[in-house]
Order: sequence, then C-alpha cells, then structure tokens
Amino acid sequence: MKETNGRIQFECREDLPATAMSLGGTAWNRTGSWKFLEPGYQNLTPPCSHACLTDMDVVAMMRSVEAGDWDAAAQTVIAVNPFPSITGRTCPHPCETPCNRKAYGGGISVRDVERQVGDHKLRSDVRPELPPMTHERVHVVGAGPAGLSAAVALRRLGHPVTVHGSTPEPGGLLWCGAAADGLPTDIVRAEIAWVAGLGVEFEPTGRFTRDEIEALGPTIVSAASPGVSAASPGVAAAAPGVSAASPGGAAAEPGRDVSPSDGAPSLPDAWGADGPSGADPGRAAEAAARRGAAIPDAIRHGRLAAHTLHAERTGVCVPAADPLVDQGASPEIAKFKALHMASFQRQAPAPCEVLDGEMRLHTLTAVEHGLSRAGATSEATRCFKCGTCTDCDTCFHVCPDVAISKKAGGGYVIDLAHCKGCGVCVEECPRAAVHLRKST
Amino acid sequence: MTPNPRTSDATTTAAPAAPPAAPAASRTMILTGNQAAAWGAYLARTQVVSAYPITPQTTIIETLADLMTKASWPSKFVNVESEHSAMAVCIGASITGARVFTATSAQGLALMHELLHWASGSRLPIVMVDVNRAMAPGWSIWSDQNDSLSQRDTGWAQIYCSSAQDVLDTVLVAFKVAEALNVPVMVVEDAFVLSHTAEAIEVPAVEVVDRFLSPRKAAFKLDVDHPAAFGGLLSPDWYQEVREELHKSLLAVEGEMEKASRDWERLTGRAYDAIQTWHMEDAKIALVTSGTVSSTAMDAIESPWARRERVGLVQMRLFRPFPSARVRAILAGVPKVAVIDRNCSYGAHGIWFQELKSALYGLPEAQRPQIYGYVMGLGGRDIGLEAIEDVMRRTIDRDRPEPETQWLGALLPSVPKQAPGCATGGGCCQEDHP
Repeated sequence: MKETNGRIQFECREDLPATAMSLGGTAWNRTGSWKFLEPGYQNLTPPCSHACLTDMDVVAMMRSVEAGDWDAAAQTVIAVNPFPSITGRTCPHPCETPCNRKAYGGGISVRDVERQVGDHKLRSDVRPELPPMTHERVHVVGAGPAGLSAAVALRRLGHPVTVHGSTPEPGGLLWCGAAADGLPTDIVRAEIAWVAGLGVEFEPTGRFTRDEIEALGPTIVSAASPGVSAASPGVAAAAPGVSAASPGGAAAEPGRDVSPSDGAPSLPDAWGADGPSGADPGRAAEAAARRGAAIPDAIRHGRLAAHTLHAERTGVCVPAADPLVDQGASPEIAKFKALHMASFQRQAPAPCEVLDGEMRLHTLTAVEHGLSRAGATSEATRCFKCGTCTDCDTCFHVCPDVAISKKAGGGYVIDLAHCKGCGVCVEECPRAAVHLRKST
Repeated sequence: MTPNPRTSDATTTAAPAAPPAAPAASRTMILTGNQAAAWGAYLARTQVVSAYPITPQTTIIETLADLMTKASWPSKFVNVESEHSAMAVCIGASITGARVFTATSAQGLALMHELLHWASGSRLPIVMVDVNRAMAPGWSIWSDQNDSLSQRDTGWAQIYCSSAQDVLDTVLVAFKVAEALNVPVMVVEDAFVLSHTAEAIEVPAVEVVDRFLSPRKAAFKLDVDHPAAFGGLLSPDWYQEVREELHKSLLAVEGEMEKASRDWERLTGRAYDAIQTWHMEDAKIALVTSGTVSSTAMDAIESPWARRERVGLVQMRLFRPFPSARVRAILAGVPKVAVIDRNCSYGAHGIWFQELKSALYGLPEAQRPQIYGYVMGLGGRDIGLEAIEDVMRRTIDRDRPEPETQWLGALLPSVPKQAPGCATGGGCCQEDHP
C-alpha cells in the first residue's frame, strides 16, 4: 500500500480492508471545484432591532439573558439607551409588532425582558467602560431624555459633559412619564442618579438665549427653544420638540412605521437628509410632533447628536446610525419564511403579570407588572434570534463534506476548496445566517 | 406438538427466570426455547440489544430485557420502531466494537433484508435468533422455514436448532464463531414447537461461559479518536475481492464452529456438529431433516420396522455455509435420500433438497444417491411420527423419485372440479368438450 498526494494505492489483495472503510482522508479530492453556488455567513437584521426606536441590538440582549449573563445584556442595552428601566416600562415596543415568533407560539415580550435587564442594571450598578476625559468639555442644554442620552454618549466618548437644565432636577420628560403613566418615581430617580454616577455634571442654569448658548462652546441643544438655531458650528440640536405631547407611555404612538414589508422607516427622520447640523429645527420639530414624541426617540436622537458633534469636533466618526449593519449585518430583514422551524419548538410566551380588570378601575398604578427574572430568561430562550448566527453548530454538523470548522472566538469558517455548494448548511440554518451566492 | 393458536404469547410463556446465583458449573432450569435464547445472549455478556417485538420472537426480548437490567457490565437495550431500524442499530452498535444481539421472525426478518446485507458486508459479528415463522399472507404465526431460508444469500451463517438446550449452547457458539471470523450468525429455532415449549436444560454459570467466550476484540471499529468512514463506495476495481473475502470467511465458519463446539464440549460435555447422524453406518435410506422435525425423526427411525429397513437420520444444523463436503462423505453410496423440507422455494423445490442435490452432484455417479424431496409441515402443520413414516414408506416403495417435489400431509381430499357440460358426471374429466 502506498500513498501519493494523500491518495492510497492498493498494491496487493492483502492491502484491502475487510470491508468498505476509509484508510485515509479524502482531502486530496478538492471537491470545491464542483460548485457554482457558495455559502457564506452574514447576519440579517432581525425585525425587532430594525423596528427599535433606540437601535438596540435586541438579539444580543436576548442571547446574554439566555446565557444568564445579565451584565452583558445590560451593556448591550446601555450602548444605545441609558434608561432601559424606563423604556422597559413605557416604550410602545414597536419591536414586538413584527416579531417572527408570533407565528409560532406567540410573540416575544421584548420590552419586558428589557425591563428586567434595566432593573438589573440599576440593582447591580452596571456601568459602561469609561475612557479618561481627554476631549474638550461639551455642554448640553436640556436635561430631558435626549439631553441626558447625549450626555452619556459624550461621556462614553471621553468628553467631560455639563448638562444644563431649566428645573432644579434633571429628567424633564422622564418625570412627565412618571406623572402620566404611573412610572415609579424611584425608577426615574435611580436612572438619573446612574447618569450622574458616570461623571456627568448637572447645572440647573435655567433658560438660555442663543447668544448664551454660542458662548458656551461646543453645545448640544436638546430643549424646546424655537429661537435657537442648530446651524452654527459646534452646536447640535437633539430631539427637538421634546416638550410636546405625552411621553412614551402606552398612549404614545410608535415613532416609526415598523411594517416588515418596508425595508426602511417610512416616516421622515427628524433631521432630514442632511443630518443633524443642517436641519431646520422648525421642520424637525414639526416632524417630531407629527410622529408623537417618545422617550426612546429622544434617547436615540440625543445619542446621534452626540456622535455627530464628536465627529465634527474630533474628525473621528462613530458609526451608530444602524449598529447592526455597521457590524456587518445585512440590512435585509430576517423574515419568518427564511427561518427553519424544524429547529424550534412551538412554545407559549412566559406569563406576564397584569392587573385584572376590576383592579384597574380602582387604582392609578401600572397595569403591566412585567416578567419575572425567570420569565425573562424563558422569553430570551424562546426568542428565535432571527437572522443571527448563535454558534448553534447546525451547519457544522450537517455539512456533508466536513468543510465547515469552528473559529476560535465563535463563528465558522467554510473550506471552499472542499465545499461542493450543496447548500445543506443554508437550508438547515435555523436562523437564516448562512446564504448562498454565485460562486466567483 | 402443535401450539394452540388461540393462546397468546404472554399466557404460554413461563415467568423469566432469575439471573445466575452463586458460582456453580451449571444449574438445571425449565426454560422455553426463547428463554434459552435470551439466557444465551445474557450469559455472553451482550452489550447492546435492539429488537422489535413479533410473535413468536417476543418472549426472547422480554426475557432478555429483564435479564439485562441485572447486567453488571455496560449494556444498552435500544427500543426502535421496526426491524429495519433494529438491525440498523445493531450494525451501528457492532461497528463500535460492542457485542450485539437481536432476534426476530418472519415478516420482521424480511423487513431487515436490506440490512442483513449491510451487516455481513460490513463484517460485523452480530448474532441474531430467528424464530422460524411462516410468511404471510395468509397470516400465520406458526412454524416453517421460509423466512430464514429465503435470507440464504445475505452472507449470514445459519444454524438450525432442535432443542432449548441446543438454542442456548448455539447462541454462545455463534458469538465465538462470529467474532473469530467477523461474520454475522443467525441461530434458528422453530416457532412454538421449540420457542414456547419448556424443557429442563442445563444453564451454565457465567464463569463457565467467560472461560469459553472472551470479550470481543474488534479487528476494526468506529473510533472517534481515529476517524474512518464505513460502507462507502467500492469501485469495480475492488468490490469483487472484498466480497470474495466475505465468502471465504463464511466458508471458514464450518471449521470454526467445530473448534468452538469442541471447546464447549470440554467445558460442558455437550457437543454439536454441523451435521448430526443416527444409524447412518449401514443405512439404505437416509432421512434428512432440520430443526425440531429431527427430534421426531429420531423416534421414527427407532421403530422395529424402520430399523429393519435400515433407515438412518441426517440432521442438518448448519445451512450457511452449506457443509457440502461433509454431506458427500456421509451420503456417498447411500442408495436413497429422503429430504423433509418445511419450506419451499416456490416454482422449484424444497430448499434443503436443492442444496443437498447440489452438493451430491459432486460425487462420482456410482456413489450418487437417489434423492427424494418432500415438502410438508408449512404454516405450522404438525409433522408427527405418522407423517415421517409416510415419508419413509414412499421412499422405500418407489425405485426412483418423482420428477417433482412431493407435497405431503394434505388434510383435505383432492376432488377436481367438473367442467361445464361434462357428461362423465364427475371425477376426473379427460374428455374434449364441444
């Protein structure tokens, strides 16, 4: 028996095995040349993340909760939203409308999971990693959700931040939520204290004139001040019109059209095409008022304004408008029919505690009491993680050519020299995270 | 003895016996053929059993399931949804190096057919007990040999037993032979007459069996540390040679079985040959039988009339490989050979008859016996002493065999139907009719 380039040659009958069995490998046979289609990994955008008013990576949060890593879940949320305990109670949760789970046991209570994550953040005082404050100080005019969100984002980028409010205590719209929707005041207070804990300074300066703002230096204006223009250099306006209407409680309309049939939000972004610094605040305020101002909207715009200002001042761009796509995901939304239901069980949602009908007549407290921690874990487990590779190993196991191997830090690599392009991995992937494209 | 068809498996089965107690050479137990089969598999320290229940095999698996719960060695009983899967599990388990046992009957064996080839082609020493049951339709749960004999070309060795003791001992011998040669072995027993009939047998102590049968050492196996693929494509360049090796190994079963039987005899005093004979030293007629018919025939040839007519008995135990040389040695120069077939290769002959005839053709013409074929006892019809006497008389009375195999033991007379308009008024109508 001799071996040439990995191929075994039998030289006599005695070389033959007792039965048809491999005596060597088949790596010499580079079957990759047979293919005209080749598989590749790319996450799609889950419908929940696409609909999220704060651009949250919902699936990442779910995966951390499922794994029992509540700190990591909190980090995922506060990367875009410093107030998950508030939005976890008041957000109109447009994320839940297009949930693919709806068709297979019942939609996921994303907001209730976020609420548990937020409460964990407060309980365990989970904070982001904060760089030293090496950049110039930025002033934020307006201490509502947009202003505070901008402040947190700036602080995370290394700016010292001073927030100027018109009332003795920061919070603005957050307090309106507390008043109108039964949002517990201790939650609002704790969330605001958490921001202060990051080193964000607050001054109850009162009202500013335009000249006073320009004198401050780099500033974000996130207050309803029709006279203030955001056009001057170093001044960005965040979430205009925050004083309008009720905060993001159950009565507030979802800020964006979240129909999964539409690839992009159909309602105009507050800033128009030119981005924040070129926006006309009047028009933006009108747009904001039209879609119903909501806390999560304010949070998102505060963060975007902070990133824009940072980019203007430092020349370093912070990609944040669509975090998933920035991380390499396709903007294509993962639809139900792209998922592989054979990999999932039809499971009913975890029970959510709600006040019964009679009690609602006699109290002003919140109707929804959310999920238990175990319930949140159960929901996170039930979540399909649409369009997202979860390292489930399905592709690894089903590949008939053993052409898929695991990467050290997670994920897989396909040996295209041996992959025949059969597409079994694509067909079997539970979450539509592997795709076939024309072979090059 | 004919089983009562209205009696179910469960009610005809004695309770499973307790596992062996303190070391002793052996002890006497009252066991049915099926219980003896289960005890054989248990004493062999079988590691994996996978089977699907079918009358009359079921009590083997029930008894064995009970015994295996007491196994002190790692063992697994795998439930499946069909015989096809049962054999697939056996193949998978056996290729990992485990000692594997299963049992089935009739349609179950037929359903396994494809995988019987896989087991032998993969050179896996699986031992299976087949309880001979007639093939449907019409449904029959009673004994005949068509189920096992129609698997003759699957590359399995086949051994036919005639008593519960024979079944227990043969299961153990079968493991030894199978593992020595990497071929699967089928141990065959008759439905009810043997499978459900209790008799006193010697059950050897585990220690005795351990001295006879050491743990399996697989020549090759599925090993995750040294991955290999099994059962892949074999091109025309190699297939024939690999199959020829299977054929040679199967031929070697006869010698290996003889060796194992001698070892077993040393330990227990009981010996079994591929072919067993009685009164063949000066026989003018050789009666050839297999399975439990042999026990009845043993009585039949002892009658004064049969002794006068010098009727000998040849009990065939090994069917595959067919012990042709030994058949020739035993039957050379015997004037007449009468073969009782509890089976039929439809459109041809009884299957043992065919095999014997084929083997005897290797004798010089002067030594070739006349060979008389009789098909009888299908679907569990009793083959009693009278039936065997009938066979002997017919063979004695006719100088030459009939050109076709004779079907004996009809219970109803044959009355040919009268053709319409026949003037002869019944009976056999030979006239041409307008």
